[in-house]
Amino acid sequence: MKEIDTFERIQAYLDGELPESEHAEVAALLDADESLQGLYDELIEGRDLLRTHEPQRSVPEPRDFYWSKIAQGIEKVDQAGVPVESSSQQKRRFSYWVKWLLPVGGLAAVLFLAMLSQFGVPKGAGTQAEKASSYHEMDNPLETGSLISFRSNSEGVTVLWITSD
Amino acid sequence: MFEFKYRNSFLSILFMAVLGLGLGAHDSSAAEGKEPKVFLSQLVWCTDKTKPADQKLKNLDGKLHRKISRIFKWKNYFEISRRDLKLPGDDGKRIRISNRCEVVVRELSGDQMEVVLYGDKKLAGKAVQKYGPILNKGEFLVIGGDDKDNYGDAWLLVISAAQKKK
Repeated sequence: MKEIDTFERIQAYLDGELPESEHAEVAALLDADESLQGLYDELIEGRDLLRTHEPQRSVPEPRDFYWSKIAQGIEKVDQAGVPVESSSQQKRRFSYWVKWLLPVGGLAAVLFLAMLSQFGVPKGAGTQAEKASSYHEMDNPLETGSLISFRSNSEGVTVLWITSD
Repeated sequence: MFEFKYRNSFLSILFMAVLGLGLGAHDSSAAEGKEPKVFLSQLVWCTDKTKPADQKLKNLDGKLHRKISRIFKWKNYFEISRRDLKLPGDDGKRIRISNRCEVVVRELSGDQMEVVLYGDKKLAGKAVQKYGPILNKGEFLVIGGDDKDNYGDAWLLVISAAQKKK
């Protein structure tokens, strides 16, 4: 029983939990008794081992705690006196924006359509590359014979010559 | 139903929609009323021979003669016949240029025209060309071939912008 008591006191000494009054007494015991000193050294070693090699695990935050934090945050904002819009105020704000956005949006759409119809979108635009003004193509419907294409830029003349065999 | 306060907004949108439709209608009517594109098609005989006395052949006008003679090396170029081709009026129609030559013009998308040529009622050739340079820059589209009946001679179908009648 006495041994157990001494072990606990040394443990408490090591952990810094011993009252000041007993501190010097346990220190004197350790100095006087080699076996107690050995026990003390073992306890220190064990503590250091635990400190250096014990895996650190973070405990997941409980779901209730997560939501309670959000609720607390909302409560804080409410207590700080943030004005809450009444439904009539919201409606008024909405109608203010509708009053301006609808005509402006409508005007923009009408102008866009008018511009589109004014300048037109070339047929097939986006599906094929724009052709140069000198572009020409020829189709050879002849079973025997061929077509030769020639263009003189200086004269502004495009010639398609049909040859027959 | 819409609330009363939104009515002015919707009335303004309605007004703009009507305005837009009006603009579109104006534009489409303008498009419909566009001037027709008028091309001159000339059938030309290229030869080194002199002009036959028994045929009514015209010498080519100066500008076309000058351009053609810089490209081809025949001595003489005679106009056999000429005919205006109107788009969209003649679009897709088979137009007779001479006893042996017919032509069909079509307007295609992208400011292009298709010229289909028939010789002795047989399909002789087809060309697709942008008509802008012909109408606006005075360029020429020439479709030509050897004259099977007269060795060394050739024929040309010249498409150009028709002279505007004053």
